[in-house]
Amino acid sequence: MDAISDPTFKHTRSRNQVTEESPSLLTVIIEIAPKLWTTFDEEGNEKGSIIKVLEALIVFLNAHLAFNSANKVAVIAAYSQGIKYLYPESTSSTTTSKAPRSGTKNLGDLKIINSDMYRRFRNVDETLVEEVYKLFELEKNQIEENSQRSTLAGAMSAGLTYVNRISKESVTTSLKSRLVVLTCGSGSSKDEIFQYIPIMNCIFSATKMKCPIDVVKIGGSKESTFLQQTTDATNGVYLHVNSTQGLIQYLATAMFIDPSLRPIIVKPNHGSVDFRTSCYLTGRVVAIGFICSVCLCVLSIIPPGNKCPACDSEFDEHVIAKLKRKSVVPRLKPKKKVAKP
Amino acid sequence: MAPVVVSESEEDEDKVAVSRRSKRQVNFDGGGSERLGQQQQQQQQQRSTHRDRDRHAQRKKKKRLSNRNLQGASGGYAWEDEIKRSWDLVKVDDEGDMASLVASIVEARKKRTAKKNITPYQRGIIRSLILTLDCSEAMLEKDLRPSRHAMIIQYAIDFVHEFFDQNPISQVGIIIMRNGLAHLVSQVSGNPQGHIDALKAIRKQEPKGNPSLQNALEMARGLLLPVPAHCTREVLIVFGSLSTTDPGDIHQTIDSLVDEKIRVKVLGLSAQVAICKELCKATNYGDESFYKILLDETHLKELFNEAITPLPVNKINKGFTLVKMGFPTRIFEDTPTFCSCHSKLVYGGYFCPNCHSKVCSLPTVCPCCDLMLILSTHLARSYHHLMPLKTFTEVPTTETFRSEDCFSCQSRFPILKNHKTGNLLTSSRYRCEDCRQEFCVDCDVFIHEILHNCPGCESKPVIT
Amino acid sequence: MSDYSLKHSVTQYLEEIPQQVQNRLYTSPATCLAIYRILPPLAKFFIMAMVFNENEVPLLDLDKWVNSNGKLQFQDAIKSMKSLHLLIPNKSSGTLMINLNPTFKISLRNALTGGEVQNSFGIVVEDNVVSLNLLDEYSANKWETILHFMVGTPLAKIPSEKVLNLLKHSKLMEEINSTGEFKITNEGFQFLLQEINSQLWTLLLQYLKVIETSKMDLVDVLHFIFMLGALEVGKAYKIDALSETQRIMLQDMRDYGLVFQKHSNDTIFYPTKLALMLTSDTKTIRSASNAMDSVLRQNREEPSVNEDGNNGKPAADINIPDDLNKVDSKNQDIPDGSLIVETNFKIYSYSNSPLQIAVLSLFVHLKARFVNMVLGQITRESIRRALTNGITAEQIIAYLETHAHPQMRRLAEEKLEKKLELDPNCKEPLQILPPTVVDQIRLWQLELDRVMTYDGSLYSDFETTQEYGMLNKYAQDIGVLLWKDDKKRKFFISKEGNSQVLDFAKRKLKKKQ
Repeated sequence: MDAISDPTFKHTRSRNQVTEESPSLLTVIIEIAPKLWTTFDEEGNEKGSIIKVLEALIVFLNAHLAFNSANKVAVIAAYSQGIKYLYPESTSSTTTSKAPRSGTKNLGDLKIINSDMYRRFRNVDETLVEEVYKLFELEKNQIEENSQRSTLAGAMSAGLTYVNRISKESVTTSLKSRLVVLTCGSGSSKDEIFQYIPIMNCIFSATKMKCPIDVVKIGGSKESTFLQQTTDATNGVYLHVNSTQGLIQYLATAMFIDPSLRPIIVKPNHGSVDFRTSCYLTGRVVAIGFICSVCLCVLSIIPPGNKCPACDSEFDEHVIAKLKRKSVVPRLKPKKKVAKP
Repeated sequence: MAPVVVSESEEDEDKVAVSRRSKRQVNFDGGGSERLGQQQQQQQQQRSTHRDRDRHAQRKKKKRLSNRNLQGASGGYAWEDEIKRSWDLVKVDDEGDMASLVASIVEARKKRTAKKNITPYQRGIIRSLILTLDCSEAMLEKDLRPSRHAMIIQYAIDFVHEFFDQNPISQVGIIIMRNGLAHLVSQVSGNPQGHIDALKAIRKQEPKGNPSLQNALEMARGLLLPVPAHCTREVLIVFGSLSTTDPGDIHQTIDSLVDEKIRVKVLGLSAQVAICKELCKATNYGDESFYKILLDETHLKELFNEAITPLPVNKINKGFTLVKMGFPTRIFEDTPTFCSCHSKLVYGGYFCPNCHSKVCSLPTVCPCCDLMLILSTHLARSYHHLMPLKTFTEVPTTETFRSEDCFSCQSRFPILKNHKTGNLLTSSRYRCEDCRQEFCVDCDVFIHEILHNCPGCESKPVIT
Repeated sequence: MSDYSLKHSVTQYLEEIPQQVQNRLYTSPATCLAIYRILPPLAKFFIMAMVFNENEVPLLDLDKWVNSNGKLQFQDAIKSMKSLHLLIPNKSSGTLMINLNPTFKISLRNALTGGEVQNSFGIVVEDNVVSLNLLDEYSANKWETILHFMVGTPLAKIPSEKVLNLLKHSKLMEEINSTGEFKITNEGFQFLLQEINSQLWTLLLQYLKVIETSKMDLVDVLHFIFMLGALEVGKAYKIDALSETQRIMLQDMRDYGLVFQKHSNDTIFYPTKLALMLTSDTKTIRSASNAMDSVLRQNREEPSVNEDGNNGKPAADINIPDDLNKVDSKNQDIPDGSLIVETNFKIYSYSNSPLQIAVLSLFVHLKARFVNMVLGQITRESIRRALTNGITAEQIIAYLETHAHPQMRRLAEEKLEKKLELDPNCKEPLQILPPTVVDQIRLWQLELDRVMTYDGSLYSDFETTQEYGMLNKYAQDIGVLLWKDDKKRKFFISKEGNSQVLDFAKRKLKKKQ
């Protein structure tokens, strides 16, 4: 009997080798504080680089929507005064600003979008341009105030809650999600200490939700330790470009890897990622450090007074003495070799 | 008649003695002492009423409850009530299901917030935990499906997963109690895969014989001996039977556990066993809340999850130290080379900063120079325990609402109205105290359980 | 299964078109977008990487993107792109360089960036908005009439002549010469069990085959079909933008319920939801009615900013109180017609449409019917009935899987995830249906195969046992022996091996003599 029935059951489904095409949600977080971009302009002798970035972004969103007809998009802007959803547009923005809509139609800006385009693309693109315009209006009024820190971590957290909400809503279909972060490199390196813990929390929740985070850093120095660690831990791609030229090409290749394709595509990787952290007292990067068991702060030297600088908890005397002990066998200094005649 | 009264008074005296003893200990968390105080008052009351009533007092029909906590719904003891099935709890009101549904959502949220203690305690982050499972005949009972043994093994596997997820720099070892002996199933290590494989192997072993609590505790003691002082030493016992067969004096073992500062937590599956109660109380500085008995399956899951959060450090056992740790650099290689921990060929790995030997995975102790190697992400994993996020308060329904959408996910707040009166049942808005932004209930749960940082506070441009 | 085979059949058709025709096809951005969506995902990735690149790319570079697990899919993708002539190989300097078909590249770029689109996406007329409900009803009516007609439920209106002709040509139904009535064929049954997307495309492909003989321009027809997939529901589009061929097609499309026109010679037409589904993903859509819901919801989510009319925010506002009154609905609707299959072979189908129930009754023994649910059981008789009608077990299983309730799917996914976590090398596919039911349906199908026949020759009447033994052994050695009986000295050789055995016998017997 087995000889008859076995063949039927053996060749069950060979189609499972094909990558299952499931719709995906792309959330883009873009750092739009105009001050940052103007500094970037000055550094690179460019003009209006933020407009170029937005153009590239629009085409990138269209490309994502073209990949699969059920794909979804969301864009969150992190600007100097907080965060704002550029797409889907928040209802509060439509209710409060009904007046300017009918009047000044900002036709000058909307001209970049062809009215004959594929409807779905057009809806997304027009909403995006409108909201960006409103954002710039807001920023214009507050250009005097100095922003003290970047709101990127807040935008990432909000993006993750959005992903959570959409995943819950579309339980019937398996929706995969991913996050793309576009940041500007210049300035804002001193903020990074404040953002360490929030970005770490975002990394852990993204890993749990299986949502890869990709980062594109435009301009500035190559290092951005936290963002590099972010992409490394969440199985994402980190890209550093020097100028906005050809940005769309980068976005359409390295940043275009759909979650369903991630298992088979080789990600461009950067070689070594620096996982070291910096000392709380001296600010140096430490390879071997001392960790307070209470508040987990990293120190490169044993603090004077045997007290932790962050939590003020006293350390046990014996253990400190042990740690302070010098090595029993002193390191030999390399002797100069004297050549014997 | 007389003997009954005598034993009662003896009981009372024991209770008094216990409560007097417990007063001396310093409790670090407030909840325990409150409860003890209550019990004390009750003992006082009972004592006075007993002394009033003479020995030849008739036993009244109305049961004297010696402990208010054991009182059930209908006046008698809690175990004399009718069994409440889960479907009885859903009541359909006149207004349809609305009111009860809303109430259940709100209640569930409140339960979560009430349980969490948000004062930032100092906690022992680096932990060594010995998981002890009961594999005696009592585990063949089928009150948990498919059998207690199977369910406990499954939950133990989930527990190991979650534990290493939340406490990446900790270590776990696994022991089982079977046939009067304690067997070591998995060595103390920081690698979750090994533990899970070992647990899966036990699945096939049939539970047999009687459990021996003392043997298990002695073995746990032995395993925790080489653990350095900055790690917390914990034992989690899952105990399913009602007795224990020991080769010696278990009280001596308990005393030695207290000396070595090992904290024991017991999850009981059937009923409360006095020796377990004593064990937990002694090793946890008089706090009786470490001995829990499960009510049903979901409760068991919750109890396991409670054990995952690090314990607050007790004042008596300070043990603050500086721990020397290394942060290795990662390298990528084109050709595979040997790692020094397993002697396996791997592509790339991490270099210990002290002795430059290669290890393949983190976190681990460098096999050459004994330095603990971790990534900064592992430390960051535990930050949310030390600095927990404040709970959001519910916006009262009488206020005028600032916004229609949730701040972080842009979903519209639902309008839930009482059908009869037309009033709003709940505003469904939860506000963060620091940044005054409003969130929906899904975001609230997500933020507090997974994300641990508030999007509103993070998007504030100026730090106040 | 049907998702894959649908794309397969469409791509097959497109591949068979000669290259010049394909090139003409690629001038329209809408067509390019639709074709882009039909390709396998890896191909889509490569194309997007090359769209904005002016230079040629060596094939090895593309190869480097894919790791060892995906080599098979890589080959697949390259093959499909080549057969559609999207990739143009160029063996100039020794290494194999490839370039994207320039026409395709330009059109796709235009589609993405909104460049010159040339009416490919239709010209919208701003007024004359028709209510979505009307379109809904109209298309559901037309489409389900066709399907009901095939199933055999008595109908008030039967589909038009042309549709019946099409059904006949595609062999989905055959005409009984005696009565002139139509009877459904085996392929027809298979057609019924497919998803709506595949059903639409099957009919359209047939349509394309039929008109090949007529004077209509194939490219125009294809342009129109792909354009339909990119239009927005509820908006009016001008007929002036269409060519002659396309206007003729319009009338035919009305019969299928793909477009709506108030009168036959109106200057505008309205695409319906069915049209949108031509290029949509099948996973989100199960049946015609459900398709409407999901597409409607999609449209509501993207309010167009320009209109102050019916679409946009006001429409959405009206609908919100409905949603909000249910605390737990929250857009989590169960697709209509979703099934739950139990391990004791009982089926529960949450469906109300008579069509769904009729399709189910083909292979399920229906027992009870409630307001929103139908109860049934899969029995041996019901499956045998289906099998004798020509439906295969695979199709029944595929139907059950595609219509499985999302809860079942989720459970199966969770189980698989857990298994993968514990053992990453586990290669089990997703088991949505209980394995007992799946295996049993297959076994019942096997029951019908009771007799296996082979062609061949019988050898009998041997004089000596030795002869018999010798030939027997030889036949066995070369593996063509199918049956033997030592007592009666007979054996049976398959047709292919017959000549060999005869040659051998002749040689041996000659020797003897």
